[in-house]
Amino acid sequence: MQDYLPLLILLTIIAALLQEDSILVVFYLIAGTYIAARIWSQRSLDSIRYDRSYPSRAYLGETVQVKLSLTNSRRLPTLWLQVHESLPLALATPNFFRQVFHLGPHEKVSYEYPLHALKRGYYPVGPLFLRTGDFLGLSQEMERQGSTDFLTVYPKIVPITHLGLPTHTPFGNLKHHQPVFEDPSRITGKRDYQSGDSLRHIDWKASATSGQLKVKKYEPSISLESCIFLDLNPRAYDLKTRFDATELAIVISASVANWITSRKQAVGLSTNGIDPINNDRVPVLIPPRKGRGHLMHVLDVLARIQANDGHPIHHQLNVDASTLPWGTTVVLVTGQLDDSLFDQLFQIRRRGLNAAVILAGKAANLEDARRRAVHSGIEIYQVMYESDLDQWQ
Amino acid sequence: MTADSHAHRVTKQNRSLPDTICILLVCSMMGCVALSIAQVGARLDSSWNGSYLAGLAVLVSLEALLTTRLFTDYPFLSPEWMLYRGVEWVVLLIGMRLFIYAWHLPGQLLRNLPAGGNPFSFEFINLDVVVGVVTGLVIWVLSTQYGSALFLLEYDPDRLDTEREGIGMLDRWQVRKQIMALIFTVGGLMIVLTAFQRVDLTEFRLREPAADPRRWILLVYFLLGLILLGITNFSALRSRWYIQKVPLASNLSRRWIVFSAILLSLISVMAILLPTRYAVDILALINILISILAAILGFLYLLLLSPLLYLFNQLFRLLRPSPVESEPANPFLPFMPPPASNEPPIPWLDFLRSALFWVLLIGVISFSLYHYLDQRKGWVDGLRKVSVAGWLINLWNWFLQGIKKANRQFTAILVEAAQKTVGYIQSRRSKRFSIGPAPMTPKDRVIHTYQSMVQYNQDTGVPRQSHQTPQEYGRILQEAIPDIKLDIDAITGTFMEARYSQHAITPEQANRAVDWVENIRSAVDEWMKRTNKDTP
Repeated sequence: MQDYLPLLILLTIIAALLQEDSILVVFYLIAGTYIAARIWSQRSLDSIRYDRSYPSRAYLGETVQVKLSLTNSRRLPTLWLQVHESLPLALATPNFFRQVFHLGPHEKVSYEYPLHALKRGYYPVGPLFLRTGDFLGLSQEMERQGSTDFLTVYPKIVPITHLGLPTHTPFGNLKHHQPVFEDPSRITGKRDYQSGDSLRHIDWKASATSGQLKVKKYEPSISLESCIFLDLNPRAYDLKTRFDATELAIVISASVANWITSRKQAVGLSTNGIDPINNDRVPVLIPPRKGRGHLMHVLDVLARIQANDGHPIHHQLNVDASTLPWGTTVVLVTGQLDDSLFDQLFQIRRRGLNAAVILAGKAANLEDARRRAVHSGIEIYQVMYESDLDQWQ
Repeated sequence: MTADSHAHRVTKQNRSLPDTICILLVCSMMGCVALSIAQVGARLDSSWNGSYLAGLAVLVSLEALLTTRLFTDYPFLSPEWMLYRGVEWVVLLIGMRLFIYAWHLPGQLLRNLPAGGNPFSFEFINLDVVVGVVTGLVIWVLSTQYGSALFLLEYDPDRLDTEREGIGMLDRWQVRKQIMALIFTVGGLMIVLTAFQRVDLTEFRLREPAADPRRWILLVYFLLGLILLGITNFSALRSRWYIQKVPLASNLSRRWIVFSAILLSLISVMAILLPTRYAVDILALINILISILAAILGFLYLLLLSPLLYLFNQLFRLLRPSPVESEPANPFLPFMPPPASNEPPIPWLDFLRSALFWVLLIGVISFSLYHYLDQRKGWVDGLRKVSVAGWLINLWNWFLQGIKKANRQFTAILVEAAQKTVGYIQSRRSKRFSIGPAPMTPKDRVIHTYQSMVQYNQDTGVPRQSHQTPQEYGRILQEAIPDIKLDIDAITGTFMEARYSQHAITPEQANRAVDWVENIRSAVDEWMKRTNKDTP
């Protein structure tokens, strides 16, 4: 349009000299159109409001429908608007959503696109780029960048029905065969008094009714408070299967956490991986707690967590296990057991905690590790492939 | 969605309309050019009527636009090209001659039939034909140029698919520039022709402007040209989106055309309304505006005072003592009209134009000043330190805030009035044509009132549990707020009667229930305030 500025000036001069109305009106028209077109396009972009609605968490294999709503908040229509939504490649092909449309005054349009949760992770949805221009195409198109939201895809959870982790914490809600774990809150019946029974166990009402001394029978029970130590140091895994093995370790951790929570027991998580939303990159520790809400918190971390070459797990075992209460079961998920880990697990046993190790992927010197574990009273399980988890179903 | 289905969508929904309208717009613009030529001819020879040139131009333009795209493969001046163009021009010449003959035939019949001459006489070449052919040639050349450019912007899936693969990328911005150059060059020539009509070459002076509405052809031409530019912008963008595989909304082209046309029409109306010469100065304009405002205020003042004046008048009549003989009052002097002003009244159209002009001018100046100062905040801060200037700036800010506040209040009053009016109309309408639920019976009113009380208390801290009967709930309320024991008993009893018995409830009972609930609400509010105050 700048090329035609001389023409506009010429028009004005001719119109002024000849006092010809129609020429001046043409000048008004061209100048007015140019100004209106520029103002229109500038205002259009400012008036766009957008909203992205979708469930922010998804289980593996689910399809999440993202609803993108765009609203023109003013009376001025937006002649054309191009939206470009960047999407994670792991969830959508192609990895963007694009559309061009018109928005009338106060009009709202909505588009839906699917995201396929095929891989666990913490994925950015967006940013949204909005682009518009004037209807004559005289000025440069304008672009605005919107915000980014996130979608958490949980790791695969294999339903475990029995695992048999060791525990010595009394007064829980899991049955146990050793009478040393008798729980006074779980009465199973009454029996006649025998010499040596504690007076505190006598049921006085029943004794008065029957005329004989009766004592309460208690059910032995234990509590399985556990903390999963997930080793995400790539060096702990076999070089050839490193990526798959770390992912398998995450699946194992998620499945075990789910199993423990389903038994109404407390579970915690400690890992040397990196949480992307944790800027200072310190190792993650979630203290053991009960409930589905806590499990979702653990799964959130397991969805986001990434392998980290920095911290070895034995250092973390030393620091974090010291904060755990007596009788807690430490479940270490790693790729291989070395001397330093054995030493650390032995220390844990000496502190009154239980220890179990689940080896994910191909482990070197497995037989040697088993032999040493038997001597130290440590349970060892091996899961080479995901299908091996079926043994606990 | 696959690329093929995407292409299909563009073809079906967004292709035809813009391309067709482009052709129609160019034909209309060529009609304007021909009319402009005809006007010049009419200036040179006032007896000559060249209105037929418009129709001729439209036809020639249409032919050129439709056939250009068919023979784009032939090289310029090649034997095939020569053959094609030669054949085309022979047909065009015949067509033009027949068109001119058909155009003049009705007039010829009217002239020759009463005179007994040959009504179908045919002269192969005359002045009309020569002017028509020359004009046709000009229009044909222009239309061919337009056609070639528009053809490149049209939707062609084969070409676009090739471009998508990065082969033979077309710079559509250059094509649009070419179209823009054509529009403005031809427009510039039309301006020269229009200017030429104002100059009296024999006496070398300016003629008076003609009152003929055809002088607005220039405006129409530019208006159509700008719409064409808008649609070619859409065409260029459409090609880009196709190449980038961006899906388009199905109604995009239609809305684009409609909104472009509306915007340009509004601007055209404003351009016509704006003054083209100095009519009313700003002081006169303000004077007129103040007069109008004063008249409106005076009218409102009279309207408000007239009932009072009437009352006072009646009162004084009553208080007046018995009629006494009095001197005859001065005879009522008839109202003398003010002396007629020598100045001619200002026409309303001029007033409107001037108002529009000054509003725009003041708006532009204010906008510029605001942004100028906004960009130089340091200057303003510096000026603020000078006492007089600082005082002036503060005064200005105070004035600005006052204006904003008044504007907000005025808008709020208007909105409220509008909402009330709409509400009143709707209520009247609903009363007149009521098809909604019937009004509540007294029994329903009592139940509804009680439930609203329970809901209110739910929110304010004395909730009713689901297992509580009305009487149990009443007791809890009484324990919390003993002052309203009687009201609670009354509303509970009336509610139970309305809800669980077959007794008839009178409207008076329903009204009393509302009063009891009002009392309970006030007491609950008081209780809440006391409780909050006592809570540390």
